[in-house]
Amino acid sequence: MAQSFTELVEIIYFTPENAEFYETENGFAALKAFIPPVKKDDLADDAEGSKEPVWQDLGRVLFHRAFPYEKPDEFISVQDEDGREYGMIRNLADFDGKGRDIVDKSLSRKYFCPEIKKIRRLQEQFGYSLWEVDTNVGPRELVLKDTFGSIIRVSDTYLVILDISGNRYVIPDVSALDRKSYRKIELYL
Amino acid sequence: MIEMQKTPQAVTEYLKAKAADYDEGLLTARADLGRDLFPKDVYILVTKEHLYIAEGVVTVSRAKGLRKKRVSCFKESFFKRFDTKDLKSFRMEEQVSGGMFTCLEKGKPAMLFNYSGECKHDVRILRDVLKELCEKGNFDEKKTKADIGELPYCPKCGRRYPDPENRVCRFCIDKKRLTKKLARFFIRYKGYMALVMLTIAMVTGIGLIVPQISAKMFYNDVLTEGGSRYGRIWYVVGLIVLVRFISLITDLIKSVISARVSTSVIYDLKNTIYHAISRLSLGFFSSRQTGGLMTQINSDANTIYWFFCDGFPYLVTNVIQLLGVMVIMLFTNPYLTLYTFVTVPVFILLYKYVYILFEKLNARAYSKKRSMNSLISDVLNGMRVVKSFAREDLEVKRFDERSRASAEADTDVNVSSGRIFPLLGFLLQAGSFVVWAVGGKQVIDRVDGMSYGDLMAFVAYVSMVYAPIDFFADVANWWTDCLNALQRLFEINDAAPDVSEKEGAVTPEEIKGDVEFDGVYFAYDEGRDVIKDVSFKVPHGTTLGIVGHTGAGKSTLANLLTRLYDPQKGAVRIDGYNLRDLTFKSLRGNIAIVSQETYLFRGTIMENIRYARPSATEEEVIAASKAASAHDFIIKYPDGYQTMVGLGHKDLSGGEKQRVSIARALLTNPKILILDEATAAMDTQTERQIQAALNNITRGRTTIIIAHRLSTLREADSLIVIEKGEVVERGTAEELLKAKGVYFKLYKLQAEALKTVGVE
Repeated sequence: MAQSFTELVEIIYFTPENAEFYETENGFAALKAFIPPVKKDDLADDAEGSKEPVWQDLGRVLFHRAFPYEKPDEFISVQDEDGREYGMIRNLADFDGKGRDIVDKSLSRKYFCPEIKKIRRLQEQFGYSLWEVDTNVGPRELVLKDTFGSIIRVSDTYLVILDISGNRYVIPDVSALDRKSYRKIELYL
Repeated sequence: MIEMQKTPQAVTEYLKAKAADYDEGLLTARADLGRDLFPKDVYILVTKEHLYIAEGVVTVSRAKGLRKKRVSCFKESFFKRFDTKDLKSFRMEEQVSGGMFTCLEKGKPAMLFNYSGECKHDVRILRDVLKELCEKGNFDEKKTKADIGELPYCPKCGRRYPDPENRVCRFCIDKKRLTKKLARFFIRYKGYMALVMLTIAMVTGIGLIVPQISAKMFYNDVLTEGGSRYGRIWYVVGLIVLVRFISLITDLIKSVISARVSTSVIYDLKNTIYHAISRLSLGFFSSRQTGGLMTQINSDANTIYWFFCDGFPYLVTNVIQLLGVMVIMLFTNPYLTLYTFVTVPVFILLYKYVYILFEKLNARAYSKKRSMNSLISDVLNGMRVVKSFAREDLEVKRFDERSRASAEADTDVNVSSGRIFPLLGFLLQAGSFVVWAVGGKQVIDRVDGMSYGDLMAFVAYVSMVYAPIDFFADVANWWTDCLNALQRLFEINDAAPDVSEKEGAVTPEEIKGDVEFDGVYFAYDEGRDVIKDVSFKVPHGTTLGIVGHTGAGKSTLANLLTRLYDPQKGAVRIDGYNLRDLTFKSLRGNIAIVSQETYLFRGTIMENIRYARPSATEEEVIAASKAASAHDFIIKYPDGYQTMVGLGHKDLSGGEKQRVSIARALLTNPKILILDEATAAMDTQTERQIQAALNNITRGRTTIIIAHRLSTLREADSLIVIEKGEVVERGTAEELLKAKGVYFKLYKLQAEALKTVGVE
């Protein structure tokens, strides 16, 4: 019988058994892991060195969610500063205490987007739209190009808004907005 | 000291107090996100030895008693001083929203500050300055100033320009200016327009006279005993026919003229835009969805066309009609006139409400239709994939769902409009019922000598009032749509191409073909350098091979050499001339490129090969095809060189297309030939054939070959290896093999691939 696909592809999943997250002096997330020696060079000969896992200090690591909306706490890619993947956290819930706090802190920082609480003004003009909104970090003014296309509709109620400078804003539940705000945005739903 | 953004007085004073070496300051910058990711004012001061970062909030208040004097105040929440000598490898780390500026402080990662998308440009410059400062101990002030360029903010309102290429602030834009621009466009047709106006005015004017004859005169003078023309029915009927006939003729003239004007206006409009588009540089197209672009242009041109060829005459007609009717009505019976407009205010209020409702319904219907259409085009384009995974049923189901949603939304619009508009019309015309009642009473009582004929004429005028009112309720929205479309079109028309021919660009008599890259930096996206400090020289007549991973920046080098983009820093030179100083004609007439993406236009193979030089003879075309190993397969087609290719015609294979495009490039007889993975889609044997043929042709030409298959580069005089946008190795193939670096590894990998199948 043929092996299943997931058995054929080698993916390193980090668990508390093979990974230990710690914080650097300046509060960045870093990782010590029990994995095969990390090649810093793609072209290095495969035959060189052994493939047996060893404990190694990988230093600062960055996190990237594979399914940021559907599964924010699962399948988190752990990468070096140049975006090369060391492995993935299958499920963040496997970790507890300090390790989890460190990953959570780093993720919430990276994925931070102001939440729109109220839309004061939404004016469409010449293919651009000007929004005056209140967010959880204070009032903001944003300009959108191609308003309809700049709104990512993650679900019927969860919206992500991209302004012309590439900043993101979220509306976690559009139906929970007050009536006046909702009526302004309704056209774009 | 360079101030990248204006620093408020309070901040300057604060920095002076905090930084002992403020007077030796080199540069200040501003970022906008605090360490807690809340909006803050972050000021960065760079001096010769230190980097200062101060976060806080700047408040501006008006000082008491003094007019216009503003006092700023800076409330600090974070401050830190870094020694520049401890810092290195500055990075702009992209976050999901905005970014984080980090570096290594004494070898350990450290966060310097956070910024949002608005500050990206400034932070990128700051990064370059810091890098230069830490490496060389100083930085080039003049270059930096040029790099900063014009700041992408509107001077009037301080908002960022939506499109840095086109420095127009959407919110300070002058509608008058737009209208003027459009008027200038239409002035070309002023003679025609005047004629159209005149005929419209005549038709409307005649319409105004008709009730005077058909109602007032007919009843009062002809049908009433003792009237001045009592019994002379034919006289009035003849008069009416005559007036109608004149009106008909004028109307015919109007139709003919406006049909003629409108088609040439729309032709002109589209032409202007298309012309503007082809002038723009490639960057414009990659930042937009090109497919949507043309659809947008077409629909925008149509919107403007409808407004000016349909809406505008209507507007004139309605203004004349409404004013004329009102004047006549007021003269006939001011008291009754009032009753006519009784329901109009209610109508206008209701109309506004209904308009919002319909805007929503229409927007929904539009988006459902769009989603259905995009599914159709998606599936049709990907039919091969759909069929190979046997997903037809699923696609049919998906289409069914979207089509139903679209139909339902359409039904909503139709049902609602079927229900609401007749009701609104009824309400609007309710005034006329009042006129019947009050007017009838007046006729019986003979108030102010009101006769039956007067009433009939009045009623006829009343019915002429409502159409213009209905129209005016809608025209404002129409006008807004038109202005929006106009703005989008002028945006394209006015966008300055970022690669443009300099004034006084030169055309050298002869180009030898010496190519030089000198310290070239390039980024498609601010802050993400694709090409970093690349320098190399290719003497004329020699062949350079460029090797590297996918995404290393090889094709970008080709784009820079053909000047599809300009480098941010450094220079690309041909025969010592900076590309920026050459005319496009002399540049592109001497360079030919065959790239990975080959595109054949719809037409014959002959036309495609001759595209770059339509004057080429048949002999030349065949010679070029032979050299490109294209002749053999072309000649096998029943239609030979006249085989139709491109969309909807014969589908050439990837390798065949590449061979045709090589022939096309060779035909221009260029001094510099770039082959960018030009033979990647061919089998090795064909590639060898082409190379053998090319060897004769490339002799005496500068040739740049980009490839990741090393065998392609066997004939190159020298090689450079690119990694992550930097030149990591250079030399002849032999030298590189001896150096045992990246090239050696690549070579070994590819040789091993041969070994596994027993070939060496």
